[in-house]
Amino acid sequence: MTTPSVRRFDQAAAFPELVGLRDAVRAADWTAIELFFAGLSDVDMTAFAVKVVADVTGAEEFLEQLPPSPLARLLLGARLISKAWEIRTGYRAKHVSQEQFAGMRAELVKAEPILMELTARDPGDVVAWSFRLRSGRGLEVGQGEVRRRYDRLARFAPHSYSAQSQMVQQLCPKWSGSWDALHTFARECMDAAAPGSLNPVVVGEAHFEHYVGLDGAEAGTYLRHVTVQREIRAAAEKSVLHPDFAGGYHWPQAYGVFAVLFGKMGDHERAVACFRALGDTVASEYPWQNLHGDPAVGFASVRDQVLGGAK
Amino acid sequence: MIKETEISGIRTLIAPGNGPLAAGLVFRVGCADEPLSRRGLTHLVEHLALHRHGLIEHDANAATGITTTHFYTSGSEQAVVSYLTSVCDSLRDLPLERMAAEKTILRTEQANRPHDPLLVWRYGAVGFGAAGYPEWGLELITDDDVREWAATRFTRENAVLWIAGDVPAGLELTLPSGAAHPVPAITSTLPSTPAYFAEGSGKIMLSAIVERSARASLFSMVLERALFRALRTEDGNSYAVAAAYVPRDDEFATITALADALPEKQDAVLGGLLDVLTALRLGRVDADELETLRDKAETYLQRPEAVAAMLFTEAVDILYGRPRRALADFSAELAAVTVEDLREVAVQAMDTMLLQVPRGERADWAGFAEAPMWSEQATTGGEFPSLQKKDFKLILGYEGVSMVSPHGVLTVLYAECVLMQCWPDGARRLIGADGVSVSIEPNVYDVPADTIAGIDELVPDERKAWQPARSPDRIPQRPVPPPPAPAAVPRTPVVRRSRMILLAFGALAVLCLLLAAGSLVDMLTNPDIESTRLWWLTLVFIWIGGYFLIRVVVGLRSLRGPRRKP
Repeated sequence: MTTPSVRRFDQAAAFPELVGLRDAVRAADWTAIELFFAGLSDVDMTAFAVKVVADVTGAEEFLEQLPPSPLARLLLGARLISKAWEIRTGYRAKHVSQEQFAGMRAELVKAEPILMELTARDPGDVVAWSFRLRSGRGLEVGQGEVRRRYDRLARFAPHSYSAQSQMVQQLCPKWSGSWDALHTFARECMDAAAPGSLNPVVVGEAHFEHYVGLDGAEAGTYLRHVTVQREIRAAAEKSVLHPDFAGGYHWPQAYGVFAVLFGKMGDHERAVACFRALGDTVASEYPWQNLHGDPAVGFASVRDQVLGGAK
Repeated sequence: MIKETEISGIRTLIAPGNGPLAAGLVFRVGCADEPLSRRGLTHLVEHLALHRHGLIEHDANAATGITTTHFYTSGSEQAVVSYLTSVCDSLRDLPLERMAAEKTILRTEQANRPHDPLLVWRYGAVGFGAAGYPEWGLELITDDDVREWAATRFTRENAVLWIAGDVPAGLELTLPSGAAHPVPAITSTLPSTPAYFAEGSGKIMLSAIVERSARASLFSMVLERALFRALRTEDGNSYAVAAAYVPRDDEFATITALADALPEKQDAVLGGLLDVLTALRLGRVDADELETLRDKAETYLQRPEAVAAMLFTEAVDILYGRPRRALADFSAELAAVTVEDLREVAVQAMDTMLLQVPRGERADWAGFAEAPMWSEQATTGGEFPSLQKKDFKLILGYEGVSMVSPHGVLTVLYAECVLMQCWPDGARRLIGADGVSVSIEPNVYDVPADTIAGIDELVPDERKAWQPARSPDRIPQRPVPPPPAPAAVPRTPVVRRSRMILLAFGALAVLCLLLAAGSLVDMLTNPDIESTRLWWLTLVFIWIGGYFLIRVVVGLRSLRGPRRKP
């Protein structure tokens, strides 16, 4: 029995300060926005907060008016990238029209020079680099170029989960990558990471992408391979299931990725642990919306499978 | 330090040398002065002028550039005098009997020298753009062309002599008198810059037009170093990285740069190069680095060979009509260059930049406009669809020719055609002043010989370059017509069998209908017989007979059907 969901598939909703940030953007309250970012030092949390601002529809009108400080430019660049993706929509490429692709490119072509200037002025601007991974993917600048951008970023932040998560998308076959390259990259991220960090989650994301990228019988058996299962467990043990795990703003996505994988693998115990950590009200959009157009339906189907509809 | 004088009516620059005697004779003529239909003329004159001098034992050579031709030598007084005298004597009386041989030598030399697409995409097929083409005019060059070119361009007034050392005794040079020639007019095919085009693979190249100054010259060194560090040392994606600064005319210099790349790394080299340019445009140059490069430039000015290089540059400046600058001024200018100066030059470079990216890459995302690849409109005339590619066609008219494709239109009007290459097999290539070219391959477009002959009449002979016959494997072949439909499988047995079935069906139909008629007659003649069963029997016979009759009719129709097809 599925309980009527009050769950919001909005990762920011788990953090009151991010809800406040979003309100500040809607209210065009630049002082509040600057103050908020001044208090953030973690690269991944900053990148997430920038994305929260970027996803506020129409924010570009306010951001364009601001005096061109690095933060204002970063937020504008990020907002134009989000706008590009809103035009593209999240559907697979074959369901996106030529006009949508052209509209997407038009926004990205505006965003990219803004971010290029930021990384040129400060080659250590990791957050700007991580948004250049996203713009580069949309502009289809090529695997070599996006990898170069990641390498430039990694000189200053070798363990940025949000950047690595962007690379997971870039390395998928849907963006002209390959499964081999994807898993190799994810494994390297995990191996280099500290126990309890977010980085091993990218191994989970790689397997999730591989699973949803397959069709029919292959998809049915993918998560039953012993090697795949072993790697997913190791990744979870080194991240979400590790006692030191915190996850910053990304914990809902981290638990979500493993909740889906363990649920689909039939690893009841670990799946329950992940669902319990997610609680009753919050979840990220990813990976749930990739299971089903409505993330709530995707979420409910896996959770019911795991908890037997008991809750 | 440099003394300006005149020797045998030729303007002369003299500076004390710090090595063996060196001298050079520079003429204001180069490949940018040649129409495309005479492309190679200056180079040919240069070769002919050196021929009589024979095998040169001392250090002497000549170079044909975009706007200048330079004969230079160093060695004993006697060797220098003998070389320069021989060059001038030859220029007045070129060994025209050597033309055919020298043309062959030039073609061989040409084979190893790629054309320069950056010049063509920026300037078109005239002036500086023509310099970007191979020596496609060689076939058309006549004795008269060579004589006239030597008499009008290799003159006293169009030359400057430079000497590093003392004027050698007995130096008497005789050149005809003529006019000084200004630098060819600057043309442009780029509606806006920065712009990019995609051509070739394995490298990224760029050109930019900047002011002529010490700071611009230093900027090209900064650019090379920044590219080397980013693309080679840090990214490890390029092997060859280079940048250069070359004066173009009295006012501007051309900065060029190149970075090579493996096919799978082309995108990363392009991205890395664009990031370097952005950083320079924003003035991100380390002050220490500026000092290092300034030292390098100053050291270069003190090397022995720098005197000859400076004399040559100043000789060229006289020919360009640019006021001469003392070396001391240049050194002072160099010493004063700041990071802000470099940023200003970088902005100039960015604003005028033309970028060549490998095929398949784009640079629109970095603010570069796509350089125009297509003509604005097609001409009118007869249409010749491609036999190879759907939606491709040639239009051959009285005004010009067009190639129409789904991607765009290429048009060359005869009035603007600067060269038409002609092959004996009927193929033609027309090149317009804007650099657009249209190829007519009679086998690909099914163009009759009289149409080709018609075009030949509309293009003046002096722009038609007849090419040697192509080897058969280089001539595109007419597409093989679709194979004839496979030989029909003998239909007869099938037909016979269906006929036999039809015959059997027909017989059955007749039999049943006869039986039906029989039972009907029986019923009518013996009305007392219990009739229901007979009625049934009659109906059954009619049904069965009718069924077979219909089969026969349908069968006959389908038999007739296939015979209509050819």
